[in-house]
Amino acid sequence: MRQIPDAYKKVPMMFRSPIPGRSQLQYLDKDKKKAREAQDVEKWVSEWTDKSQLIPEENARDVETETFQAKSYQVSWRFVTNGGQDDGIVRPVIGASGIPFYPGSSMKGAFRQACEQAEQLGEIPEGTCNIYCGNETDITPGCLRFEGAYPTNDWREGLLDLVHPQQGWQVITPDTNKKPNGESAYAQISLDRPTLRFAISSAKPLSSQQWEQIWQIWEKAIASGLGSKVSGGYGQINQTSHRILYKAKLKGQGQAAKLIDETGEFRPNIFRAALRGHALRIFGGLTDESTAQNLVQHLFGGIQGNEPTVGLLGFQFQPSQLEIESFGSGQYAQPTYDVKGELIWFLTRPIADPNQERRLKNLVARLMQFAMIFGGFGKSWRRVDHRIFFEEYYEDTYKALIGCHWQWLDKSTKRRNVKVGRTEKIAEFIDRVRDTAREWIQCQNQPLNENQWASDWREAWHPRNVQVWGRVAEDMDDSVAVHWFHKSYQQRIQGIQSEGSIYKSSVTGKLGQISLIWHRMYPVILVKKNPEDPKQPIVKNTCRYLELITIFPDNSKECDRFLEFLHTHPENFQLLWGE
Amino acid sequence: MYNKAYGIIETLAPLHVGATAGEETGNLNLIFRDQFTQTGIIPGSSIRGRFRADMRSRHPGEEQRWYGHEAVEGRQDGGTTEALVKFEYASLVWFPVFCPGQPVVWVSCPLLLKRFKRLAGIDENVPAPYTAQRGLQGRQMQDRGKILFFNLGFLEIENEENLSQWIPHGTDLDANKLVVVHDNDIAMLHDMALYRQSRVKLLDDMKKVDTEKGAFFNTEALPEGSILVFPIALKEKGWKPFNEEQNSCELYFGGLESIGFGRCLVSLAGDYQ
Repeated sequence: MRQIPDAYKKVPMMFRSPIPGRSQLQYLDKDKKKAREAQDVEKWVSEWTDKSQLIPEENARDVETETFQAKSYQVSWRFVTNGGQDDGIVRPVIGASGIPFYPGSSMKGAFRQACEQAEQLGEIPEGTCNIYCGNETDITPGCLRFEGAYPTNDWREGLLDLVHPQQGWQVITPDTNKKPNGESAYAQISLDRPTLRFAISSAKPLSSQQWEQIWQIWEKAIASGLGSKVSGGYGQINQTSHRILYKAKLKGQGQAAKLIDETGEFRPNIFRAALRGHALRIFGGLTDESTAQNLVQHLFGGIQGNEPTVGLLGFQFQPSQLEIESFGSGQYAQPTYDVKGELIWFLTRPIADPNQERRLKNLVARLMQFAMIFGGFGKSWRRVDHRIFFEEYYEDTYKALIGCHWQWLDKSTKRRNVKVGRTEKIAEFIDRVRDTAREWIQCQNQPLNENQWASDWREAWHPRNVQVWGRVAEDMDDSVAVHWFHKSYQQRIQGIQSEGSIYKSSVTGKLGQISLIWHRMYPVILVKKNPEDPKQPIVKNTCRYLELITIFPDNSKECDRFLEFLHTHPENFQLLWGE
Repeated sequence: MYNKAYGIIETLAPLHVGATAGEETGNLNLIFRDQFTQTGIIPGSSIRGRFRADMRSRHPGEEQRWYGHEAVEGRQDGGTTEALVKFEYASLVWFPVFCPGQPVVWVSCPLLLKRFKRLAGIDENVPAPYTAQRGLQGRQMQDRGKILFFNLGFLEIENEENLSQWIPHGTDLDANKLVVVHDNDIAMLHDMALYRQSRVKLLDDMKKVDTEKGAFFNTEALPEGSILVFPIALKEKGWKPFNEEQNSCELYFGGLESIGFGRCLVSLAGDYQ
């Protein structure tokens, strides 16, 4: 054969060596991003999907016969599995014609587990599992064959999934210009909202009752989440078989996460990230660093220490309404989300002690309420949504989108979660959050070293490390502090006062550097006693807001001056918590 | 002396006929391979076993006549009889290879096609290496043939020929997707084509690898859409291995059946009924 010019450039990414310049899949190259060149993993995916096929329609339908049945289920967000065939990247098994495949071995494992559990609970007769899946002691085969699942919708969109761990950066590290080790974004391949068609066949004909039972068991199996990262919101079907700890309906708007190709995506794992971060802040204010980190790892999972831990908490977010749009123009254009839905936190495995479960329930509820009162979720969660509270800011459209705004959605959610309607209640609430966390630490038999709290962390929640200031804003146009982020808070008056400003300082942060301040406009909702039905308090929305500033002083000159300014009680701002 | 027939197997799911224990390498569960081409085969004994078990479950007793009587204790010579139907191993005719950036192609080589030609009684000459039909989609190089990429590098299609004669009956392969490569290439391409996945046992109560009990191991299998051929010799006609008058049937071959491996469509042709 004659020579092919530049043959090495034509080799598909899948067959290149995992070194710089060839095919470094999990690595995202900043220079390439600047030069608007495709990342290696983007090329890898586009080559994979270039001539790829979809499952033909005749194999995409549900089937019901005596010996073969197939059923389809849709995953509510992303679905990730690791076929284990690439060192560089997490990606699914590739089945016929290059189509991603959920193997029958995974399916059988999930089915067997659900089947054994149902047997133990007495929901199905003993021995059912042996009939279906085989007897492990006798080594006899079961009658079912688990044939796995193919996605039957168009699986080629949105395969690239960016994961960005940032707990250390968000909570711990004082110098946020430098990202902690191991916290850079990496890429993985996951399927975006796939419809999976699972097939099961039987060596001998089964009755329709038996098939019904089989699918019931399977639905139990998938209700505990399919594939990997289920506690991070992946692989969830619209139901859960886990014990629910907390449930709330929320609505929110803000800046959507950007995929590598710059399209927007609402990623429900922002809830998990927020709670994980807040848990670390609060534990960090109550006990020593390593205990705090262990506690968080126990709750949310992680890979620190000798062995990876599966966390106790999993969650599911079912959007009832979701719009992804764009805001701003030119290089300021950003994808946005506008979402309503139900958030569920569940136990990934049973806890033996009912007392502990009760404490965990309290803890999750407190953390959710804490997250809602003091900030938001996802990108720019430390700021109020400027589209609502500082409309004039966007008179010039060449401005970046700032902030997000989250609210409790329905009455029963509000009844259970609105703990603060007046600024005076803030301190009481924070103390209660810390008490709940203390109780959890104690029931975990962990040391409560309040004197050794994590004072090195930037955002440890300790009265000596954080101050919460607040006032009541009459309506959405009455946010005072939002202006301080964009111009001076105190005008210079010759001979009397110098200009005071936190604008563009370390206090307010900038791109790549985290601000010391959280700013929140928390809607005031009144929950009043109902004389007619004490169990159903009256919920009344108002147009007022609690304008809250949470600040983690860093002893810088700007920060000290700003605190001095706050002590003059501008626009009635009061110190609500902290020393 | 014998009536000649043959069977075509199309895999409808990955097919895993395991290698013997000595051939395992580390934690990779290999499939059984032909020693010359290093491509997957199904031994004649596996095929016979499957046919036999199937007939036994449908017409108990019949299987003793067609596939030989099993040994009975106490009888002279063990009471065994000669089978009326004899099987040989099944070898690949075509197997699909997926490579990013190009459509799936079905690959074969002269050695494999030669066996198919003999069994199916094809008159055409076996195509030369690097032959495809005009309609094959590949990267068109300037002033030369089409190029395909495989794990062994770039392959240029040197000859154009009509390959429709080489599509086994009972299958619906597209002749424009067939590629004949050199005998020396086939083992590597076969390696690239295999279905592969890792398997691991998880803890019963947690989604975490069971490092105590669960070894981590890889499984390989012939991919979905592979076509194999096997010869059948019959001492007597009138063999009805499937339901009445059918000449094709879904059968399971190989191992790992309970996790979805081994579903195949078998079609028979030749002198057997």
